[in-house]
Amino acid sequence: MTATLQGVFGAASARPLTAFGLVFLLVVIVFALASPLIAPYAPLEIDSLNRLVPPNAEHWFGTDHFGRDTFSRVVYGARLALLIGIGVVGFALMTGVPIGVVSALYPKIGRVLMRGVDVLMAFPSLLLALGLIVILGRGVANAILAIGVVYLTTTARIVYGVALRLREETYVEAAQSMGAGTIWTIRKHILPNMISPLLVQASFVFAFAQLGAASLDFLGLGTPPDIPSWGNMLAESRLYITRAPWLLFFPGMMIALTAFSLNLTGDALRDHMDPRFREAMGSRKRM
Amino acid sequence: MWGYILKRTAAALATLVAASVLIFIFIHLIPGEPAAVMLGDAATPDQVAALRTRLGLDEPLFVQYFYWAGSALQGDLGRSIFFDEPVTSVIADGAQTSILLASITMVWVVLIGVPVGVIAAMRRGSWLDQGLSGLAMLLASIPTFWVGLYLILVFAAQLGWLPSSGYPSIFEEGGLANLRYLILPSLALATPNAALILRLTRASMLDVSKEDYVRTARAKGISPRQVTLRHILRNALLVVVSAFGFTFAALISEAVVTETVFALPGIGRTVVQSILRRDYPVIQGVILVIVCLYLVLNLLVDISYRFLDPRVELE
Amino acid sequence: MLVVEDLVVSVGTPRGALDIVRGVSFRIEPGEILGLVGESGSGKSMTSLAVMGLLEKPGTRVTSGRIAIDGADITDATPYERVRKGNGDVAMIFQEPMTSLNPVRRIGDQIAEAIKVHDPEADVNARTRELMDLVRLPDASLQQGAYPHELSGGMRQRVMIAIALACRPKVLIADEPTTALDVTVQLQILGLIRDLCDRLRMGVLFITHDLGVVSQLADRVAVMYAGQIVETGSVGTIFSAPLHPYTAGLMACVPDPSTGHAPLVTIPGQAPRPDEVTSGCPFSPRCQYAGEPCRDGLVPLVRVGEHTAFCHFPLNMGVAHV
Repeated sequence: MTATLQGVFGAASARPLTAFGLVFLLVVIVFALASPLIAPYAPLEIDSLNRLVPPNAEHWFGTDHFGRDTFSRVVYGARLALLIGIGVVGFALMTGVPIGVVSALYPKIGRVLMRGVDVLMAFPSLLLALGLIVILGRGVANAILAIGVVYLTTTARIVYGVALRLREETYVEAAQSMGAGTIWTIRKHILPNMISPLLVQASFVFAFAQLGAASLDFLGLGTPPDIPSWGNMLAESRLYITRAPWLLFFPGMMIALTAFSLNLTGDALRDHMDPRFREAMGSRKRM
Repeated sequence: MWGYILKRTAAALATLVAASVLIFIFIHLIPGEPAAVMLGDAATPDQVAALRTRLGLDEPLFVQYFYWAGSALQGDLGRSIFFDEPVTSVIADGAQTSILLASITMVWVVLIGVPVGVIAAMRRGSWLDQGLSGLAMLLASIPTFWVGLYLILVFAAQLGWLPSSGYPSIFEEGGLANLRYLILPSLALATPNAALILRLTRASMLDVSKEDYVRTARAKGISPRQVTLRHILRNALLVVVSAFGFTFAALISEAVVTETVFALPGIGRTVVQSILRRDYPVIQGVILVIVCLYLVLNLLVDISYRFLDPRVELE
Repeated sequence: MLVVEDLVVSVGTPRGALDIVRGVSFRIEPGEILGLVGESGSGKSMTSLAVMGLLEKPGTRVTSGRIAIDGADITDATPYERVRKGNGDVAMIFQEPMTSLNPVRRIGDQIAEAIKVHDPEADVNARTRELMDLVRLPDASLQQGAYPHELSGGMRQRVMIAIALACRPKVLIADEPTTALDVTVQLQILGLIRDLCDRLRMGVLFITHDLGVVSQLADRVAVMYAGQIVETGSVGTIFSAPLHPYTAGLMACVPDPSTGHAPLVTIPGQAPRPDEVTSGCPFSPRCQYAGEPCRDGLVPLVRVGEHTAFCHFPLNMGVAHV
């Protein structure tokens, strides 16, 4: 773990882009945690006299068609971005890891479980998420769940691949032949070795969850419209693209740079990872 | 070889059957009485009852599945509630647009992603390589609809070079010139995908260049250019080709958003509109068709990959 | 004739350049096999790659010394540059026949590719068959269209040799070409190399860690330790009367089949890593004969006829040399 983190910071000092990514992520986190302190206006505060105002000293990112301050909304949008990211990553890990580990340790169960994962993977990702939204309805938690299921599949695949490899490695075999219990094997050997592949996977999932959530919001099927998410901001301002192009610039940039920073972090982590597991990390599923 | 094809086809069929069960049950997973959900709040009990009968919802679930799957096999995916016409013709209306959009996008992806990836790999570690790789990573992180909106702003609204929305079929007035309606959408859709293929091409070129057989090729005294073309590129492309099926599926998925941005009459937009209209037979039908297409494409890519790579016959 | 003089190869590390090969000199006459023996990490593979012009890793380069073939300086030139100047006379076969052939191209094409470079005028098809016959690949016409995975390891190494011969080499470098093969196949490949060397009057630089192979195959032996050649001589003299304690130690490690017991003799300690090498004799920390002069300064060259070694306290000086 510490080695991995050292890896990231080592890589960051060698690669300016990675350093940029880490700094940007820090900005997003600060935005999310301290939104009321940073945002000069309330995100829903309507000012009908100042509609579609271009960026200026008072409204750094301009205002939207209701006269709401875009900068303040961008700051509050970071909360949702973080919430969605953490939620999707959490869900994908909490479901994908057990499925992958169990499948690797018990081949009979594994054949069924991984077959199920294959079936889910036959659905193009956004379509799968849309289908789940149809069942669950619109909402933040439902968006997290819908996107989470998509990344459950890739996470389970990766965990399965890594766990299979670990299982075959002599020290796990040796531990088992000495009478170690399965739980013990998982705790002592499989999970510790899983940390760095999972960190890499988590940063990619976090990145692609941003894009998935933005797509759902844009289609009007994600976060409820009264919540200032970056995707909702884009969906609402899309009609004003010619009159107020800046309206779309800032929230779109936030989505892109957040995903970009997470991808950079994931790449830096992967370059530092044990080469044995790099192969298993091949799949990158963008929504 | 034939054994392999049979095995893969059987596996794909099994996946399709399992997927079709999921697609079928999904209506029943929506909270509430399916017929009432479909008809919405304004429906009278009589209308609900009539739809129940029409859809056969009174039968046991597995009987319903066999009816549904049986008709699907005969090319009948049910009727759209909104349009009151067969789902197959609703899909057929959108298919041309979607297939053309995905194909043109794929052309951009291959024409831009592969050569630029090769250049980046050949200049490994240079400023050019670092710039291209960084840019590719950034482009892969941008929402397609955002790219699309700015393409509309610049090339349609401000410069007026290309139309911003809609697509009259190439079989209607205007003919092939109507393809210009698909240029901006396909560019938007190609942006992240070309970037991903670029990164993949670069990475597999670098992987292959470390292989022992590349050293053998150099030892022969052939020119560095030929080492790159005949040994590194050719073998690296095998990996890239196998990613094309995956990319095509991603295209279908992302086209849902792109078709909405550009108001294209494709099946992606049909899905979104059907979700908003609660037209479940259409949703089911479209998802089934797309899953089918995805499985077939992957099967074809897999098999062609085995043809390209002679090693596999051993397995 | 291949001449290597005072070759120094260094690799780039995060902490600066490090010499892996430290002043190696040897020569190979036509029709002669020189066995280059050493433990892994002794710099023998790096030496062979430098001679071949295949130092590829960034920062790895020949920092001084000279490599020449029949008088033509080929130091630092890649095989392609050598061919263009008409000096493409060194060819090489590698340790791993399984991975050294391109898996998705027919072996005929892979041989033909080398022919087209080195014999632009030749009838490629006829020459390919000629080479395949030369390395005793059966059914040349069938094998031409085969892919590498369809051949056994020994067959693949024969294809590698055919590719090397297509370069019409005056010197063939063989970097542990039989290590990855079965024992019976090893013997066949060794026999083939000996035979080709005699018939084509080709010099062979044979790199191995296996003294048994060297004693069967080579005419002369050079023993490498920590980036330097510590002893050179004919097979007969080196095996009967090694001068350098390291060479003697290496031979003591080889099980002697005549006694029926594998002696558990090992050389104590470990070979120094390139960043640990200090002045003096690099073997002195492990040497049971080492004395004060060995720790520091230059090590003298001992010469008994053609047999030479760098050592303060050489062994077997009184023994009559064959």
